[in-house]
Amino acid sequence: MLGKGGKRKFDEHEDGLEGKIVSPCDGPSKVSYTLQRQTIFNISLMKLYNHRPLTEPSLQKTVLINNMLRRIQEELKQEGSLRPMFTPSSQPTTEPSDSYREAPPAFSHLAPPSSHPCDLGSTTPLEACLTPASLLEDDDDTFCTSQAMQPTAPTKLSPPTLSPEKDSFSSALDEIEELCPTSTSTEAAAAAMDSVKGTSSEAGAQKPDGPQESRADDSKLMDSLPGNFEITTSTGFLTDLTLDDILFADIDTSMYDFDPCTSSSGTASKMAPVSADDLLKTLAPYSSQPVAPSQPFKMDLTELDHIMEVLVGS
Amino acid sequence: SKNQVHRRGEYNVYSTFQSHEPEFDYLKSLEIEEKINKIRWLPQQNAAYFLLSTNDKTVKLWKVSERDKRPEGYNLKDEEGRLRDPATITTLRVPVLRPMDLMVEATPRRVFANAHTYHINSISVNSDYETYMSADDLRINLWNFEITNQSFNIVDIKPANMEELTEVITAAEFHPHHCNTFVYSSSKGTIRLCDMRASALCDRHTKFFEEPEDPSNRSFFSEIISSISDVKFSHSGRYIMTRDYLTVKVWDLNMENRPIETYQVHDYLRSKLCSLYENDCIFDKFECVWNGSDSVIMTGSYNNFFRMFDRNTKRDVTLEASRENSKPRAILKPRKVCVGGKRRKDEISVDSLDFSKKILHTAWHPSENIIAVAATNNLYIFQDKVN
Repeated sequence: MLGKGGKRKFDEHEDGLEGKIVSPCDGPSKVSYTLQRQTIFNISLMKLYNHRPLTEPSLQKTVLINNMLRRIQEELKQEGSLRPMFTPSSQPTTEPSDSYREAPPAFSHLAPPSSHPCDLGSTTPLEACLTPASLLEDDDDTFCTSQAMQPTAPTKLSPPTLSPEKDSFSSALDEIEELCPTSTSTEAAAAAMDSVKGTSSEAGAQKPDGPQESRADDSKLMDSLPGNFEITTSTGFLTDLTLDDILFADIDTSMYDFDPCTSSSGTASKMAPVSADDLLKTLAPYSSQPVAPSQPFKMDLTELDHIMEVLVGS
Repeated sequence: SKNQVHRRGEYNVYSTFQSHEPEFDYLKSLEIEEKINKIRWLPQQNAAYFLLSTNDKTVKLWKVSERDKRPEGYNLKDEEGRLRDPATITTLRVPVLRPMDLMVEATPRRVFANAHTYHINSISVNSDYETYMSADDLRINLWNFEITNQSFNIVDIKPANMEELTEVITAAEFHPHHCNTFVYSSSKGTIRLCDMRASALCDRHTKFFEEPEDPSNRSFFSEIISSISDVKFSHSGRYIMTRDYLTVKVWDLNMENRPIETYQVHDYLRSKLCSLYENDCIFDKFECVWNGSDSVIMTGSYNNFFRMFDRNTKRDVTLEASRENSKPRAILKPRKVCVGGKRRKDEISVDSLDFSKKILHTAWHPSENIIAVAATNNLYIFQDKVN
């Protein structure tokens, strides 16, 4: 679109997404307002947090991008119970959704990360993944809205190859659950399965978690935004902390979110590298069996490992 | 009379010198680029030229002078250049000035450093020729040319809590005749006119220029495209011109609530704003200039195009600065961008514009119809057709 000199960052999947009609950014009459807003939101985040300049970044640019993000945040707040479809709209864009999980600047006023983002030891984090009861009452309306607003793109994007993995993941979790029969892990597995099913693009009606998580993501990110004016160089110093560690201490989405683009594309995902080992370690306290990976779960572990690899995109 | 001067239309480089060097800020571990942001000439008072040049942090005053003669005939040194013993000198020889090849020397006369925390975007010489101002994102400082170790802060918009920062200074300029008056523009599309007689710190403006937003044109990018990249007083001092991403506006100093003229530079980009945001082109800072009589204004665009608007006839033209189209003495052909529908033969469609070829800097001779246009790493000088 931009011709010989223009550099396009999202070339491949833009074409694939829109079927070469028009990019999500142009022609607002053709795509939903929310899709465009989400795209701009993601681009803005990328601009702020991806850039590692040798020289001081332009304050004017930073201020304008921040204002853009704040404005979108305000809109989201005002929309309140109307739940925009974030998960489907974040699926089409590989890099931006990666950026959600990428290493941002750590802000000193944020709490230090918990030992592991997926802290299955307590029920609170899991509940945070679920839709609060107050919003569940509105589900019917919002589902209708969501359905109406759901762009056709996401359905195109769920490659058939992923379904068997999802199923085997669910079944793997089922088997783990069988082997670790405690209420906590059951909840964990149930929540995991719900989330897994929830992110399936076909099951729009079963998706209480997706948008809510994303909304929570947004508000967390928004809260952490303002501090970046003075942080010009600190972004480069905190690469060992991941987004999940810092911002989503009580919301674990890294294991349960399916991003078909991430898994199917070759681009490096910078999500928290939750490996199958980590998952097992967190389950360990609730298991009567020893935790070493080479143990009874061996066959399931291989499958699980494979699934985790696909998810993490490594 | 001026137009009858025969000009062959060829220019040679007069002088080249390195104004700034890259530096390293050890405190922040960041490089300070040597890239020059602005150059301003001082009015000529003798044979030498003086100019101010600035990078992000430091302003320098340069003296550019010519040397085309040198004294010869001294008998104080021997052939090898060693001073002779005065006892051996028996005649008084007065040296004679002999012509030599023209040599142009640039010498730094003043260095105005360490006064800006943020990036300097503008410098402006005052009409008193004694002071000038330098503006960064949040502050404007007033300098005396003779004093380099201190400056007066005249505008400070830094909030106590940086998290509340939503607006920055983008450009500033002194009034051409009133040495107490200056304007500065912001990233929100506003212009403030300040009077230094009112108070030492001009945080409260005398006049505030802002155009109400057009609700029909509202988009996610409204604020960004309203950010003013350049502000210039007319030579008369009665108007100011501002450049934002898509338009050039002329304001009457006596009317604050809207501009008196608005010119569309490249409105066909309005539907491409998201892509331009994505690739950062939306942050490009275009300059704008008046001609000597304030009747024509000029600004740059993409694809090495630049635009001229005649304020009287309301006609505008798009021209291109490129090697293929610029043989010496060739007449520039007007260009046209096709915005949709059938593309005529000589038109260029929006999608084939080259966004890496941008004309950000242009200049117009103060009294003649000669313009300079900077296209990436080439400088083009155009002039009126010579009869």
